[in-house]
Amino acid sequence: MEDEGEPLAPRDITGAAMSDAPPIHIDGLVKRFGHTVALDGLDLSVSRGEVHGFLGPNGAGKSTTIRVLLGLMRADAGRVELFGADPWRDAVPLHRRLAYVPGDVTLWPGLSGGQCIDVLARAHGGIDETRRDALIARFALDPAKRSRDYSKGNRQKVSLIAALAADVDLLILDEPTSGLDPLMMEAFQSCVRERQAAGCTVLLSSHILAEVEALADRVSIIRAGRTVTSGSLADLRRHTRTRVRAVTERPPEGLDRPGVGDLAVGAADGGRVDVRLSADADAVPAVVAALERAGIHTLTVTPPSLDEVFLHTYADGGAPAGDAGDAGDGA
Amino acid sequence: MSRWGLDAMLAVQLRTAWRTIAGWVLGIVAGMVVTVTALRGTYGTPEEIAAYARTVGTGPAIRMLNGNVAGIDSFGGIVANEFGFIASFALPVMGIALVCRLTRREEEAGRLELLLASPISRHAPLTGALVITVAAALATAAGCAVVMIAEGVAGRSAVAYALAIAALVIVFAGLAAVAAQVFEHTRAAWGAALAAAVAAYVVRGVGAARETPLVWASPMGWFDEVRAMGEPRWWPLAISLAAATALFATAFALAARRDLGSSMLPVRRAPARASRLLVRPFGLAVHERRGAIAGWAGAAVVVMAMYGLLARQVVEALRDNPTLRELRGIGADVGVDQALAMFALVLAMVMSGAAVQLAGGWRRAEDDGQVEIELAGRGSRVRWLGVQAVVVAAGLLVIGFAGALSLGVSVAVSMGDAGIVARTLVACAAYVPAAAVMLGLCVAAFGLAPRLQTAVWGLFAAAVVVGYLGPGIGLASWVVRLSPFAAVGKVPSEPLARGGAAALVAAAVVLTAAGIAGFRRRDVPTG
Repeated sequence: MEDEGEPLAPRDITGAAMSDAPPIHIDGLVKRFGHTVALDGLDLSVSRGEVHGFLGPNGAGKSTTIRVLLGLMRADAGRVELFGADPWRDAVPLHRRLAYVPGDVTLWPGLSGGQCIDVLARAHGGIDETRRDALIARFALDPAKRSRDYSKGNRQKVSLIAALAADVDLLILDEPTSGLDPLMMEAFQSCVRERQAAGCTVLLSSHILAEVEALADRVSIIRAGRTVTSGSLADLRRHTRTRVRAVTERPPEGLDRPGVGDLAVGAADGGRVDVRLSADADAVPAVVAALERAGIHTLTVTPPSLDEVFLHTYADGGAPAGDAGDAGDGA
Repeated sequence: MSRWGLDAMLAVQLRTAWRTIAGWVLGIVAGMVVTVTALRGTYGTPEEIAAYARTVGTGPAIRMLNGNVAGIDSFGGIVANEFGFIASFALPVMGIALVCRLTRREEEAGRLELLLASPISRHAPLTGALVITVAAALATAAGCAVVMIAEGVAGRSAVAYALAIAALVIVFAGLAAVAAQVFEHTRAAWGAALAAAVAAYVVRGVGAARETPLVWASPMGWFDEVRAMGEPRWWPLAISLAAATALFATAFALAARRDLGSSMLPVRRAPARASRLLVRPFGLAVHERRGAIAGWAGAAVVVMAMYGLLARQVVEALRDNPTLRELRGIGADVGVDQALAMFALVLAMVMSGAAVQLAGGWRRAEDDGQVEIELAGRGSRVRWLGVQAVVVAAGLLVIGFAGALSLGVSVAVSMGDAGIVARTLVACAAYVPAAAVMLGLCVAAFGLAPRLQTAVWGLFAAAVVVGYLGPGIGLASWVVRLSPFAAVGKVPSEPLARGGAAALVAAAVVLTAAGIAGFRRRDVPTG
């Protein structure tokens, strides 16, 4: 991370210490709202330069986690570090290095979109003006319209433009595309990839799985305030089954083996055999080999979508997800 | 400074709130201009000033209302006494309004979340609010001082009075700053701070009327004890300053400790299901306004009881003081009815203020998108606005009745005549058309020119100034009659001006109808 040499006072967060530390490191984070436990020992680790998908159902505690990371809320227990520093104590110097897009953007109703971007830029201490203008064009935002006349998507764009135009090391995006149309989502994705190529780390909270799938290197899935699973998308996919459908010349043999399930063999047109099954990632090579021996006519192998990973993870968890309740999402 | 992002925070606050800030400063200075120029005409000679001092200056009733004003035997003292009524309410409200606007409102709306994720310290919003409010208070003070000096008030006295003005604003700003940490919603913070202001007014009033040290328990007492127009003393200013410092320090300590968007008081849980009443438009509208209505009714009860208990003294003061009668436009034949007319007028003003504030909720609901949701249901627009207007109107009657009953009982106690209760209720009812016109104005503004809804506050203020000060400052009587508060006549000391009352009712009906018709045609939401 380039240190622009600006003072990181008041506390001693030296450039070196901060560069070496991972952008985000959370260990056993607990946050309570009265009697409600919103975060119950949450872990999250994001390494430099990655786009990290942060997934979870409504009320799981995504926004609360992000607010703790931003120093807007205080952790009740656990270790929370942003670039190796305490996000509550060192909020101001840390915020020079990050930009944030909330899930529900509220702007100043009397100001135009362009003015709002400038206000946010000023608050941030300056943004890249060229990029600002390019982003306004790219997101097709009318900057001269008053923000009270904007739709939700357009308010979201204002916040996205201000964040993406800032020269920062970390982008924290809380469901940033809610309200954007598919075309704009496309624009958003390419912008995020560009920021990543420029060395920026991204925490992307979302429940739009296609978006996470398109952008994220690694994901963490949380549920009722705890991290359920974390890893690369490939890792996660290994835990769910690949669906295989084939039409073979002869009945296949050797499919009744560990790692294979839902096996259904039936008749197909022309005396061929219709085979359907699901297989663990480890068993896929053996299954394909067995089908090959039976003479493949057609073969479809569908890797598990993130939706399936997601549903699988949620369904397997412990208590119902509603526990973290409104506090996690609304506070 | 920039290390904490304070300059960026101030830039945002000034850019988004400068109209409000400028409005308060100019509004209060304008109030001073009107007061001073009007009094200059009435009290031009030493004899007139001496007459005022002899009569008004000795009345406990006036002390109750305006505080114990020093140097009443000078022109400056008369200014201070007459401005005292405005000062007692407008200055605290200015401090409360500015701080709530700059802190809790922005936090509640979610805009602070965006800003505090930037390199802006969590102390910056409150610090910015403090800086801006102090600057606005000093600007107001400077404006008032210039106006007073230009009209011949001694420089030293004018400066002391102006500093006391600034100090009063700042103390209530500090109080609001604490309230903004304690309560999660702007409305609750406003309510708590306003209640404190009313309490401070009552305490000062009782202390001043009885000339006891109780005045020292109220920030408005510290304001009076500067004795700007007599022999100015500076040290009571230090009490205000110390109190404000302590309040702001408390607010900072509380703010440093809590999560953004949270409050010190936990938010109460609410029922999971709506009652049968709540699912109806009427029930929903009642639910939305009932807290504010209860607050206004409570304030009306307290203020009216305070006035009523002083009825005897007020009658005596009026009897002894021809100049005061002239100032209030009262004839020589003084009885309790003259006092009742004054009090009922104040109650009408309270009801009208309530009308403007309650109707302001419609605009907020529109901004927040609730109106869209409700209009997307089966009900028509006419029905929606009609129900809202009926609920506010009913609320005004509740507020008026509570205030009138409190007034009647307290006047009866003060005068020792139980028959006054019924007469008071009848007299207060005569002023209902004035409040109805104000509500009609709100409906018309909401339906026809929603962007101008807050401008109704300006009309309200003008009507109050013209109706309360108009007769005394020599405004032509037709101008005074333009104020809804004067149009019904001085009931019960004069018979009800039937023509005026009928005109008010007709105006209220026309305005309401026009507003509803406009609402049928206009875009929702209109930004």
